[in-house]
Amino acid sequence: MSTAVSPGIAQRICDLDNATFETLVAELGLEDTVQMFSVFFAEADKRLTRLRELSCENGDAIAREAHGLKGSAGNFGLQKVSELAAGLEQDARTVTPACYEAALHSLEISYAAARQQFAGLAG
Amino acid sequence: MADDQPSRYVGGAGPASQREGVLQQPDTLLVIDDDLSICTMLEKIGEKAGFAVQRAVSLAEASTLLRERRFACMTLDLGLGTNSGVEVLNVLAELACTTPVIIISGSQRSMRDFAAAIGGNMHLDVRASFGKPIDFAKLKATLVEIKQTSGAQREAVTAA
Repeated sequence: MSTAVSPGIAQRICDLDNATFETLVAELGLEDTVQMFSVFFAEADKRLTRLRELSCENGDAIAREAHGLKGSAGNFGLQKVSELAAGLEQDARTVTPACYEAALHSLEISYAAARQQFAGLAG
Repeated sequence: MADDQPSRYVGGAGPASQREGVLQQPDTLLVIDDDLSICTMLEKIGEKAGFAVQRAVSLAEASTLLRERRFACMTLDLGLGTNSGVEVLNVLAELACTTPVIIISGSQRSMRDFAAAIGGNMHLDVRASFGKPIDFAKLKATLVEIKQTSGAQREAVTAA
C-alpha cells in the first residue's frame, strides 16, 4: 500500500517554494508575510503534535488533520509537506502502523527543512 | 479548466434582505475557516481589498455571527473541523442571506462545485470558489470587485 507520495516525487518537490514567499511579500509586504508564517508554523506544530498522538485506528482524525495540513502548507509554499499530507489524507483509513510512522517521519523532516529555509529567507 | 483555477458561478438571490435587529456591517468581510494560518492570510488579503475583516473558526461561531450581523462578503472553508461548510450554507439559507459567498477549500474541485451547486439550489449568492494553494491575485481581484459592486449598490439605494 502506498503512503504519502513516492520518494521519486517527493525528491522533486522543494521544502519551501521561494516563489510563494516572494509572491506573499509582493502582495502583502514582508512584515505581514513573516507574521502569517509565524501563525502557520504555530498551527502546523500543533497539527503535527496531534498526528503524533493519533494511532492508525483514528483514520477520520488523521484524515482531518492531514487535510488541514495539506491546505495550509500548500498555501505557504511548503510543497513537499503538502504532498506528503495529501498522501496521508488519502491513505488515513487504511494505513498500517509502520507506514504511518514512516509518513509522519517524512512529514517532520520536510517540515523542519522548510522552517530552516524560511529562517534564511526571513533573515 | 485546471483544478487550481478559481470557479465563478452565475446567479445570486437578488436584493439583499434587511432583517430587523441585525447589525449591518456593509464593509466587513467574514472569514470562516478553522485554520488560523489561513484565517490570517485571508484577513490580510481582505484588508488589501479594502474590507474590515472578522473571523469565525467554527460552525457555531459563524452561525452566531451570521444571525447577529450582515456582512458585505464571506469566504467559506468547506472543512470546519468535524463540521462541514455546507452546514454554514444551511444557516445562510435559513436566514435568507444574500451576502456573496466565496468558497475556499483544499477539497477537490468536484467537491467545491458540488457545494456551490447546493448553495445555488438554496438561492444563495455563491460567487466563486478557490482551491488551495489560493491564487492570491485572483482572490484579491474578486474581493475588490465585490466591494465595488456592493458600494455601488449602496450608493444607488441611498440616491433613490
